[in-house]
Amino acid sequence: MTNLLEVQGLCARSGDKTIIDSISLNIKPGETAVILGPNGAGKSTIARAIMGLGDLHYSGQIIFDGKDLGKATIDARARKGIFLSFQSPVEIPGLPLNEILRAANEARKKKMRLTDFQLKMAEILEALDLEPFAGTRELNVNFSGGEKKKLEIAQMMMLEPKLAILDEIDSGLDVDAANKLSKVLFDYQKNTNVAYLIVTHNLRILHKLKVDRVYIIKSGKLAAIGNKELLKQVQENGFKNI
Amino acid sequence: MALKTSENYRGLSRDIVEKISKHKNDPNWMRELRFAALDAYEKIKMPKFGPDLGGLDIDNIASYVEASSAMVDDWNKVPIEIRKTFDKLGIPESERNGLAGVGAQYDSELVYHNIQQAVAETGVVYMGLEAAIHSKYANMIREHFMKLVPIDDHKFAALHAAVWSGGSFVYVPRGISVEFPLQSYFRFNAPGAGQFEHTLIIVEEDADLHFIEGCSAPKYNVANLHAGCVEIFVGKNAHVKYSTVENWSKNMYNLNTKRAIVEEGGKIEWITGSFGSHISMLYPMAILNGRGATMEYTGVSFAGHGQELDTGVKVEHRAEKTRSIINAKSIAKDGGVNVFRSMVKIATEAKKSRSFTDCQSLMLDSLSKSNTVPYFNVQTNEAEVAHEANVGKISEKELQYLASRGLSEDDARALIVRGFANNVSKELPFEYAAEMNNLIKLEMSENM
Repeated sequence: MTNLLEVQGLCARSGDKTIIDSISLNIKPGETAVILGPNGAGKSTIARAIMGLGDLHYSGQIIFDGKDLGKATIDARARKGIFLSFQSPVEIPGLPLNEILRAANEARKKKMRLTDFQLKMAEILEALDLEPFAGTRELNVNFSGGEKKKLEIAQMMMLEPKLAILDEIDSGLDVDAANKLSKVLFDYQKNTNVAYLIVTHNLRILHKLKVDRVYIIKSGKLAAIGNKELLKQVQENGFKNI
Repeated sequence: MALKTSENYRGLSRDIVEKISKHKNDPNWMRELRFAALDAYEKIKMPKFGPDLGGLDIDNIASYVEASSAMVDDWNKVPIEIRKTFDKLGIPESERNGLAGVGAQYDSELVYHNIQQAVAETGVVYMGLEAAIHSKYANMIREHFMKLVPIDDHKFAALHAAVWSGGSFVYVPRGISVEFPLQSYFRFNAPGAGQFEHTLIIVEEDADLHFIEGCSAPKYNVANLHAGCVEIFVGKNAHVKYSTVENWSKNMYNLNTKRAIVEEGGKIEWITGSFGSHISMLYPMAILNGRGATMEYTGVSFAGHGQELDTGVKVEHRAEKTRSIINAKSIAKDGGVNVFRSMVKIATEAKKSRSFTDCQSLMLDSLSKSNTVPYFNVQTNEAEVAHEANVGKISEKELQYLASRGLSEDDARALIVRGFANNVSKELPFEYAAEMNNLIKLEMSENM
């Protein structure tokens, strides 16, 4: 099976400062890859670079679905099937989430009747233990940190991307909620064959997921590549000996 | 069907006022009022504040455009061209979709007026004002017409009173709640014309009404003028919601006057979406006359290239424990100018009254302008008055977030602006909210 995402020699610089250096990774459809590393290692920069975000100077190559993303805009990448769950989702006063999602569907030329949209949204919100009218409320306004993260996942499930990059998705969630979210992510992957790129410094969100590959990032560089064994090692000893 | 813009009706003179009055078959008091207003108009100077009205040439404005069709109450009898125009605007579909009554004015004349049988049976009256003057409500109209807005209130109120034509009369008797909104739609089609409709609304004690006014006009090369007048009498413990979505052509001078008087425990709500026009000067006013009377204003205005929208609110607290809440939002783009002008007056007697103003502007570029001009006249120290104003821009973070969901920058901006105006659209019935959202989309996609 060919790769859905191939990142080759990705670098990000801010002025003279190198934030990430020669990162390469790949993911196939339906796989889960994890980027692990201590705080400030540059994990989120990788996530943002794939989405095309930020004002850093990027070099290297990102191939998605067989095509070089090159200078593709953020919205073009999203329409090709990349989704990013933000580490710090923004608040937009006055703008309900449902309107964003309906506009996003329209931008994808995806036709969905209003009632079908509402039913699907209701099911997703229920699965995520969110209030039934969360989609009609202003985006992220007066939601807790944990709820905002769940709303990111709700958006992913509505937009049905091929690749979902989940950046610190469990921050703000208690243990039970994180476990439940892990299960929701597992089920959703099984049903849709979505590929996950999970960026985290905490392993609990991986609990229910099958992890295909683990990338350890330290000081902007790739320190190790492995599988579940590597995960176990990190779980026991942290990032010190890697 | 051709609507004639008679040269005889162009400009303003005693002859023209005489002609209009004769044509309308005015009772004597109305004829006298028109002439008194014309005298006042000649004496009163142009406003000393606000936008430059130098481009407005009254001598070239048709003060009256005669329709060649008579007013009817059967939609199928309205001439096909006019019907087509209104059908495009969603009228009378909206009547079928739950409005208690619909009125449609084409240029100076009402072309259609209808009220649901069940609503009429409760004693609610909704009819053309001109017809009402000759009906059993004649005295009621005489007692209220141009009483809230005196004929010498300002230059354009005087002009209005001299040449007014068309408009609606609404009467809601004591204790009656009109369950569905009444709607009135104005469409300007004649080039270089003025529209001077008068809306008179009397809502008695414990009654409730939602009145919706929609306005639009196509673009012509000559300037048009809209100087309508709305007078609303809100009885004790009564409630009136007055919603407006205005979409004028970009060469319109919109110099409209709206005023309400609210008795004890009553409430007036102004909901306003102001789009289009070259220049707007529009400041709905409430006189809070009885203890505990309330005014709420929720408005949004959108000024694009070549537009100066000078809008705002006036409120006079005349009695104890009266309240006013003003939520104004403005959006400026491509060099558009928004001015928010408010006047809050709290009289000595209006102890324990409260007034709160929140004014937010969204600037879509650095060419545009947004000004806030608050004016307070508080004559008691037993009142609370607060004013907040802020100017914001769309942040890069918001745009990037929406881009990551697949939205182009233009779509993302339009969506954020719609969100900004959401407090107005959520107060409107569905089809008006949809129209307002479409207008925002249209304004956002228009380039200089």
